[in-house]
Amino acid sequence: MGTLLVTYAIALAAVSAYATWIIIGASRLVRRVKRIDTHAISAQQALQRPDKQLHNAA
Amino acid sequence: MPDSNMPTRIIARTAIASLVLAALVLIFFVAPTEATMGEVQRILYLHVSVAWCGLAGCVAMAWCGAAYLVRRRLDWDFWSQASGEVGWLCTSLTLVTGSAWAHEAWGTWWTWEPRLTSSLVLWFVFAGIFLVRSSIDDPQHRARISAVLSLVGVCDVPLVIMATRWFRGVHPVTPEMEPGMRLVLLASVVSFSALFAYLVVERRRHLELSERAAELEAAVWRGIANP
Repeated sequence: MGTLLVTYAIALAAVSAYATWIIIGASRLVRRVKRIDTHAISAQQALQRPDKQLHNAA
Repeated sequence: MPDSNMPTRIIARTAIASLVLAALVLIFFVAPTEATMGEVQRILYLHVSVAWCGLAGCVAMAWCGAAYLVRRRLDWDFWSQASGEVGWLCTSLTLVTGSAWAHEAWGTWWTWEPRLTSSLVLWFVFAGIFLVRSSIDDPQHRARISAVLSLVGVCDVPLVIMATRWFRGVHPVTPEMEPGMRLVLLASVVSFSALFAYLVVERRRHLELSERAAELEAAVWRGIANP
C-alpha cells in the first residue's frame, strides 16, 4: 500500500508542479506584455510631443 | 489580449481537475482488487495512462516538427515544444511508476529488458533534444534543428510499442483483466489524456506569450536606440 500511495503522490506532485509553473508563468507574461505595451505607448507620446510643439510654434 | 479567455480557461481547469479526481476515485475505490498482487496492482492504471500520453507526446512533437519544416511557421514549433515537454514529463512518470511496479512484481527496481530499455532510450533522446534546444538562441534555427532531431527520435516509439512482441522479456504484453478493471483503465486513460491535452495547450500559450514579450522588448529597445 505504501508503494502505491508514494507512486501516486510523486506523479500528482510532478504534474501539479508543472501545471502551476505554466499557469503562474503565463499570467506573469501577460502582465509583462501589458507593461511593455504601456511603456511603449508613453515613450512614443513623449517622443511625439516636441514635434507637435514645434509644429504649433511654426 | 490573452486575458479575454479567462472564464473559458477556468471552466477548462475545473473540468480537467474533476475528471482526474473522478479517475482517482474509480482507481482507489471502485476498481476490484487484483488477487495476486493486491493493492499495488492499482499502479497499472496510472502507468498505462502516462505511458500512452508519453508516447503520444513524442509523436505529436515530431508531427508538429514536420509541420514546421513544411510551413516554416514558429507556431508549429510552439506546439512541438509544448507536446514534447508534456510527453517527456509523462515518459519520466512512466519510468517511475514502472519501476515501482517492477519492485513489487519482479523484486527489482530496474532490469535491462527490451520495453524498459527502449523507454529509457526514448527518455534520453528527448532530454537531449531539449538540451540542444536550450543552447540555440535563434528561434528559426532552434525550431529547424529540433524538428529534425524529433523526427529521428520518434523512430524509437514503434520499438517501445512492439518491444514486448518482437523480443523476449518479462514485461507483460497485454495483461488479462476483469471487465471492471478494463473500464477503470479506460476512464483513467481518457482523463489523463484530457489533462495532457490541457497542459499542452497551456504550455503553447506560455511559449507564445514569452516570444511576444521578447519581440516587444526588442522593439522598445530599437525605438530607444533609434528614435
